[in-house]
Parts: sequence; structure tokens; C-alpha cells
Amino acid sequence: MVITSTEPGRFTFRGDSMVELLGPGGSLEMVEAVFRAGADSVYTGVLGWSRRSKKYEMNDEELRKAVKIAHEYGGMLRAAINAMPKSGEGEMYVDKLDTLYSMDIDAVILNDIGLMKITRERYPDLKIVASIGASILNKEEAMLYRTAGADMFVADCKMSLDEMVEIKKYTGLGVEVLVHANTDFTYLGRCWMSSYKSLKYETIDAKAYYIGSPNRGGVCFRPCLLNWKLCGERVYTSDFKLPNDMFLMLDEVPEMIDRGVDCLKIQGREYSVSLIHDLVRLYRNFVDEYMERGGVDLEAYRTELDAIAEKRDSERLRRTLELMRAARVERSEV
Amino acid sequence: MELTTNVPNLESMSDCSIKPYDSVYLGMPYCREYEGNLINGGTDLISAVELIHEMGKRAYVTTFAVPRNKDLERVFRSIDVAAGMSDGIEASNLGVIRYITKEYPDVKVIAGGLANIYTASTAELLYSIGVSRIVPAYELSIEDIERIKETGVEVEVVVHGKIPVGIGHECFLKKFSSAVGKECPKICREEMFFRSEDLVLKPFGHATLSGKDVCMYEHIEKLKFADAFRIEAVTERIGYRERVGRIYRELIEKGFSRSDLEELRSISENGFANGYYFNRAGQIYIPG
Repeated sequence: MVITSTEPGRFTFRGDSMVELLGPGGSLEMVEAVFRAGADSVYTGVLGWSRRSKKYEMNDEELRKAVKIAHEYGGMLRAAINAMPKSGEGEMYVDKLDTLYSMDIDAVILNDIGLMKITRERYPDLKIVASIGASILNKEEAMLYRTAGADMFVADCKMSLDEMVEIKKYTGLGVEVLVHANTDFTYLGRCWMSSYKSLKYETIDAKAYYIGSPNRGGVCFRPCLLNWKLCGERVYTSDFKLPNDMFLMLDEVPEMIDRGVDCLKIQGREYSVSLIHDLVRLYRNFVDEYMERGGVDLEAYRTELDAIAEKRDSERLRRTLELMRAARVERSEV
Repeated sequence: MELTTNVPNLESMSDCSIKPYDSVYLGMPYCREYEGNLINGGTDLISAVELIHEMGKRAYVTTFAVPRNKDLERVFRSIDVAAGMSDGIEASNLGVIRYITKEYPDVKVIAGGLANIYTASTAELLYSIGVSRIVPAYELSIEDIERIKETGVEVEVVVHGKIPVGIGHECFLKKFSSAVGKECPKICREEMFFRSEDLVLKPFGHATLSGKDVCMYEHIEKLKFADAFRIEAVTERIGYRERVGRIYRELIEKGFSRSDLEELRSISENGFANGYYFNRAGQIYIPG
């Protein structure tokens, strides 16, 4: 296998194992930053088509520039097109897919299994990643995605490493794991609480855009983080939040690499560029050190990660409050 | 038009509660540990199917909605039993759907609402492997569902009841056992709701449901293209299924009644919603 990089020696091997480090591209500046920090690849949202606010997605012109940046670094770009479109937007999807393919993107991240099949038939050489939003729960389900054309799946945050390995062995699918993300008490692609509370229906270039529905492309208003009461014949308990926690994995990473996880993904298109740069840099150093030496000083990395997590929590709180305010008026600019 | 509902266990079944319906889904998909859950097979399932058949109605069996690798064998063995006696099997997990269509190509397969079917392309794919009927993702609007129907697959829609707004890997209600003073499985027999600001949700097993009842009574004409209307009653107390079913049967056969609408309103603990049928937030209700 030939690996190229603008930073010689960045890619390291132990045996035949190699893990891809994937960072978020919420803006062109962020795309540049994640590669500067050592990512192997970046994912960017296609405007109106990904599971994030349009603020963190890219139009065609920006996507072309992002692909150029990625390739100049010897890296790859995955286009996230993983929001659920309206049921009749299949033709619009094909048009968008053709445009993306012509840009020389390296992979698409998809949620809808029907669109996956269309993609595989149209572009047999294009890598397809089954998004976390697909909420693949077991090996039989993964096999159906494999049959439809997926090459890799993003493991749900609640899935154990044993389950991932079992699915990989059974299906041949590559495994991608989120090392920085949030998890709540629902499966990620099976939560509609936000759009149950607030929803605004708009269009972007005739493409449907549902603000308040994470599955359909808009933001999540995070109603789980409101103050809740449990009521029946009386109020049993109050002032609790429904689980929605951020996590940063570190201790688990060496075993993941050893057991064949193919890609470590850092989520965070909505965070600051400097935060994401630091996060990618930390994981780059961690992975390289582990693969070169077969061991790593966890404590030193944990201290550094804790400092980053503190900054992340502060940024997240600000964003949560902004979203909660927006939910009350269904603001479209969030 | 087929009017259908769901029943979690034998205890919840009676001739009166089944009478208004053409078919019944058997079993609680949100929690395998639910007392007497018919998805686990056994003599209760045989009795339930026999009762429904004696009444001249169709019996569908549902399956656990969110199985992981470790759950698959148990789910598959339940399907092996259900395939021989029921008129169809509902599954909300694509892996389970794959198993049924592969192993039992002659069995009617119904893809449930939690299968997250949003697009015509996915409906076409599932139809091509043998799925007969689809309950589209709850988040779809009427025009989206119509587009799915155009693929040729049967479409079933929820016209009344509490729809899921989330499902996860564990029962979140169990965490409140000490506060409520009841343990699993008794705790979910209590009528309880999460409340915050304008939101009311109903926790139940692995699922969280809308606190309001989706009600399409005033808008039923807009859904006439569907093949089946479902009354979601699997988590409801005794009497709900019978009263709501009777009202919708009357609606289908005789038309609108103001007093019936008011009765539906009196049954709902937290009021009405239209779900997502009109491209609005799920909890909003638009009077007809």
C-alpha cells in the first residue's frame, strides 16, 4: 500500500493495521485546520443535505475548494449527505450526487438505504459510509446495508467494541467509531423530540429543509437538556435532564486500533476552528505514538484532553442556550 | 380501508376491544420484559391468534423494535413460531426484515414506523425484497406518504394515538423506580409523563412517546389514499382501544360526528396533536 502525505512520516504502521483519523469540516478554514493538525480525511456537509445546520454546511463552490485542500494534503474528503430527504427528492439527490462525483470527492456519508443502492449502482467506485443516523443495531441489519452498497458503517455510540467487531467479521464492512461526539438515551437516528417540540419548514434551492429535525437536515433544539419533571398521580421528581452527554474517548483507542477499527472520527462542525485543530492534533499524536511504540502515556494525553474538553463544554453550553431560545421562536438562522 | 390496532398481551384483549377492528398487531415492541408480552410467543400468543381468528379478523405479530446482536436469536425464534400461525409479521429493524423475507418469503411483512422509512427509494428497495406494507417514518408529511404509496407498496398510517418520538437501548423509566416506588415490570403500568415547558412526553420501555394523542379524526379525508389506519393503543389503559376504535369505525362507515370528536378529546390526557402530517412540529394540532 502506498500512502502519501505532505508531512513525511505522519503515517505509521504496526503490522498491516492502519487507522484513519477523520475530522470535521464545518468551514473551509476548519478543513484546512484539521489537515494541518494531521487528519487523514475530513467530512463536510452538503448544503441542505446533512445532519447539521446550514451554517456549518457548504455550497458547491465551497465543496470544490474543500476537496482541493484535502487532496493537496494527500487526504480525502467525505461529503455528508446524510439527512433524510423528502420522499420524492430522489431525482434531486441524483443530480446532487452527479455534481459531487464530478468534484472528485472520495466518499459519501449516507443515511437512507434506498439512496445508498442508487449511489452504488450509479458510481460503483465511490466509497459509501453508512451514517450514524442509520442507527445500525446488529449484524443482520448491517448486512442489508452492505448489500445495498455500503463499504463502512459508523457505529452507534452505545455499541460495544465486541459488537462492532462481530459486525465487521460477519459483513466485511469497515468500522468507524466516534471518539468525540455526544450520546443520549435514544439511538441517534431514532430521536424526533426536537421536531416534536418545534419545526420550521423551508426550502434551500427547492430542496426541503426542516429546521428542528436533525434527521431531516435542520438543527436539533436539544429539548432533552431542558429541566424535566416526572409526573403521575403526583410529581415524582423534578429538575432533571434527559441524558445527552459529550464524550471524548482515549483509553479505549489502543484496543480499537488493535481490534481493527478502521476509522476514528472526531465530530464537531459547530465548534471553533482552534478547538477542533487542537483535538485533531492530540489524536494524531496519540495514534502515531501508539502505533510507533506500541504503547502510550495515557496520563499526559488525558491532562491535555481535559483542558480541551473544558473549552468544548463552554462552547457547547453557549450553543445549547442559543438553540433552546431558537426553539421557542423557530428561528431559521440557527 | 383496514382499521387496525395493537395489543401488548393477552390480559389487554377482550372481544369488545377488538370488535371495531379488522386486524390486530400482537405484542409490545418497545420492551421485551413487558408482562405477558406476546412477542415472546408461548401459549398466550396461540390463544390470542385463535381469539382474533375466531372473530374473523387478521392477526399480525410484532417484534422487538431495537434488537442488538445478542437479541437476534431470540427474535428469530419468535418469528419462527409466529410465521406459522399469523397473518403477517411487523418488524421495525431492517435486520429482522431481512431475516423474515429470506426465511419466510410467503409471509406478509410489515415494516413498522420505527424502521425509519423516509423515501420512495427505500420503499422500493424493501418492496423489492418482499415487504408488503410500510408504516412510513412518523416524521413524514401527507405528501411524503403519498409518494411512498406510489411505489406500489401498501401504506399504513397512524390516525390516532401516541407516536414514538425516540427509542433507545434501555428503559429510561427504570431509573425512577425508587422515586415512583415501583420496580420493573410494574412501573410502566403507572400513567406517567415527562413535562417541561410546553412539552409532554410519555416514557415507556425503550421508547419515549408523544404525550399528546395524534388525532386525524377531523382530517381523515386527507389520508384516504392509505391502505390501513392504525389506532396506536399498545401502551394505553383498558377501554382506550375499544372507545377510540368504535369512534373511528363510525367515522369510516357513517362520517363525522361532533360528539365523537369531543369524546376523543375527553379520552386524551394531554390533548391532541397532528404529528408531522402537515409539515409542522409534531405536537401542534390544527382543527379541521
